[in-house]
Amino acid sequence: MSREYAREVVLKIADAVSGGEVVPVETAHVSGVSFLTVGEYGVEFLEHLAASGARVSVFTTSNPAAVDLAGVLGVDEAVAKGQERITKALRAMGVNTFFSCTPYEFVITRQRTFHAWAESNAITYINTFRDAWSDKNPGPLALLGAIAGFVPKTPLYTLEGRRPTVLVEVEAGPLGPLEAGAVGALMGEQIGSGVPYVRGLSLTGEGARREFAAALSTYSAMVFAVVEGVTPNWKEYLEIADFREKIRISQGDVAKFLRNDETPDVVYFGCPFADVDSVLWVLAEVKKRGVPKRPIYISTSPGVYGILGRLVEEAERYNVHIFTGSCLVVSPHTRKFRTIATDSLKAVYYIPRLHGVGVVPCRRERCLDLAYA
Amino acid sequence: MLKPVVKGRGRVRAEVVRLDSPVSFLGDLNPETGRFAGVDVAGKVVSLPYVRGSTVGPYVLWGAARRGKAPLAIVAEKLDLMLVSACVLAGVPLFQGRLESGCVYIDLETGAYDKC
Repeated sequence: MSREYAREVVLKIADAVSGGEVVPVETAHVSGVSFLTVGEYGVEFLEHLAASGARVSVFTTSNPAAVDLAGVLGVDEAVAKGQERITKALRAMGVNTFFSCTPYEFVITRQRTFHAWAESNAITYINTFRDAWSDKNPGPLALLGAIAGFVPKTPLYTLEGRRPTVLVEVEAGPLGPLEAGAVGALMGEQIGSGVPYVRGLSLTGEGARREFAAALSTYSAMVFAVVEGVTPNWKEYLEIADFREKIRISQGDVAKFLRNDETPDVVYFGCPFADVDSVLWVLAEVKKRGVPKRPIYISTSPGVYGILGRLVEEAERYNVHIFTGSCLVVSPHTRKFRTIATDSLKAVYYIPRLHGVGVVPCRRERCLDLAYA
Repeated sequence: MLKPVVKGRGRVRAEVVRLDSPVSFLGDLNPETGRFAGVDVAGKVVSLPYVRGSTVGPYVLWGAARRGKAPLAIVAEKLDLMLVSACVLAGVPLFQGRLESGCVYIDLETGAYDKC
């Protein structure tokens, strides 16, 4: 195995999907690192690869794991042990085990540079908001690409493959996180594949940007949209656009994602991981309103977690549980809940499917109200 | 003639197993027994419409190959990066097309085949 094996596998995949052409990458981000999702065979593969002496040749980060870094989420011993084996193998290969789904927070991805990322929300974020180029690489391919230093040159690594094909006019906004996710999900459902060019998209802040990127890629195979006035080089993309379809999204369409029919037993923010402003907003609210009746869980990146410092302990006293390195999509801890209120449409999609747990999509403010209801 | 996507080597006589619905490696393939959607596929050619499901899929096929329980080759009507990655990783030849159940002589490099 080792580096030769990785090169061979990536070249073989390239033979099948890109006529043998590959692109060198600057960074990689690997997914499929939670024991819950990869299971015993994933662990075996990673251990085998690590034992063969394979090492990543570019800066490589990893997606959230089944276990959080401070042990806020309880998991059984088998999961914890499996996760430990994964972490060990990743470290042996030189992968940065920050376990974050928002590596774009600290990885510099410049315009028009190539990256081998394998977490759809993060790929969509750097493609859309930075015009840094990554395709949606399956978890093992991103890792083998990180070792080899290159990945197959699929269309998204070319300007031609990024030519906008669908014009989307958004007649709603400014959009908070939930509404931004709803617009992303609607675009995903209605377009499915191709490259959308979005006009009229006004997002309230970083939380909304994250939710838009996450929902677009959860509800479709797309990992790139050009947002007029926002995506770097958007004018160039408009010039080369070849619109074959046009769709309109209105305020009424966005409302269809809201539901009020169930009472949650927990409120969850941070899918993708919450940025520092979002966490501080929740903390300011609970300080004003007192201890909520239902627990609030917030997953955030290791960087933000570090910045929060002692606020994490203070938050615990307000029934707000901040954690990092894992999330309620990939941790089996989620199965301890019955119904989860969340402003993340990605969580709304995956939690019932992976855990059989109910979800209530709500605007951030409404989710918080539900914690007190 | 099947279109070779991930080439193997050699011309072999093999049994073809048809799966009529799309399948997921995760959940449908048991790497310990080689049963795929309830059918024994170890050492046989599997013809299926397409695969769906989790990015974990490639690991499951790899696990089956390590245990000698992987199919001899996969023939799929529709391809995606996941299926291609899985086959390359596991060393399972992949072809685009469709085969009927029964016995074939198949060239794992070119995809040329004859009925037995």
